[in-house]
Amino acid sequence: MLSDIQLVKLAKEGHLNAFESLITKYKDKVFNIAFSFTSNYSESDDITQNVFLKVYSNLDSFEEKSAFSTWLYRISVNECYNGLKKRKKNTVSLETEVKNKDDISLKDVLADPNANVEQNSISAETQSMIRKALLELPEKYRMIVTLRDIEDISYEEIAQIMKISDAKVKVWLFRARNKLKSIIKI
Amino acid sequence: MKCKNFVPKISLYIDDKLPQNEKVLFEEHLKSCKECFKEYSSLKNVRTSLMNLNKQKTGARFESIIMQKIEKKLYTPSQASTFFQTVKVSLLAAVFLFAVIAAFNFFTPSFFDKKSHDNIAALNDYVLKDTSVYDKISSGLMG
Ligand SMILES: [Zn+2]
Repeated sequence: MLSDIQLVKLAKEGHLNAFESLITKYKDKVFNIAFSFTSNYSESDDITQNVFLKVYSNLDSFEEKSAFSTWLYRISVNECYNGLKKRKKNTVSLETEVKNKDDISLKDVLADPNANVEQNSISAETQSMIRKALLELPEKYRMIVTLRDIEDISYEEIAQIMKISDAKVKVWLFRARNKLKSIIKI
Repeated sequence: MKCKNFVPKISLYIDDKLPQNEKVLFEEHLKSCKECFKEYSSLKNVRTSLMNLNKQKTGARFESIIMQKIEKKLYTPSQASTFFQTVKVSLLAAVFLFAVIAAFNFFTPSFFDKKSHDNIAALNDYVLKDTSVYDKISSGLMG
């Protein structure tokens, strides 16, 4: 199997199937980050599509100073934040979002017939409770626990992805988990 | 060591980020302090719960949707950069134009105050004839 660097090189040379392989490798990771951030399927789909189209459009400017995945996740984080700004601009959708916060469990977490979900050990009820709690976190805290605890990305890579210092990674992570703990009341 | 010194380290301990000597002290403290142990268990639970959330996946046709958009030439590296270049240039032009207009509006009232109404036509002539006024205004603004 080709490495990311090899695939990126081929994609830069115009081999579309190499780019498709990169999509296949990372699409679910990006989607899962977006979903952890938004708890919304269609938004996560938009974000994930935008991420890969931006990656493709900017492939020439990727200088391979970092790993491809770091660059990809950096774009994903920006896209999540941008999506949020768009939603905030639209007051109607914001109201609906707040009003429907309790519906998240029904609409998005439990029953999406098209979603290909890997089932895990915790109950659907707990899942929806945690997802709702995540939405209550300030966005930077929501993003950092997403990257660390949901995606299991290292402190060093998180610092690069979020463009923050190592010290900030530690502090934000502690605060984010603490806040989440008090919301969930574990 | 006091509890308040240990609490901020719980998160680091969970990620195995404490230096060995601090880790030993921390573990010693956990054995003897119920409060800190409770805090530790709670935070550990938070991480475990997040780790165990169902992984969400894209639809099966995801790649083909993206590849279709790319193949339709809606997104190409060169077009994208040309597009952004165009946007950049237009934006700069708009900002410059705005600055010139703003400067002109800013400076002209003093002329009107001092001079009589009859001189407006002459003033327009002056401005139109002597384009260096624009340069003066804009260079004054720019630097
Ligand atoms: Zn203690």
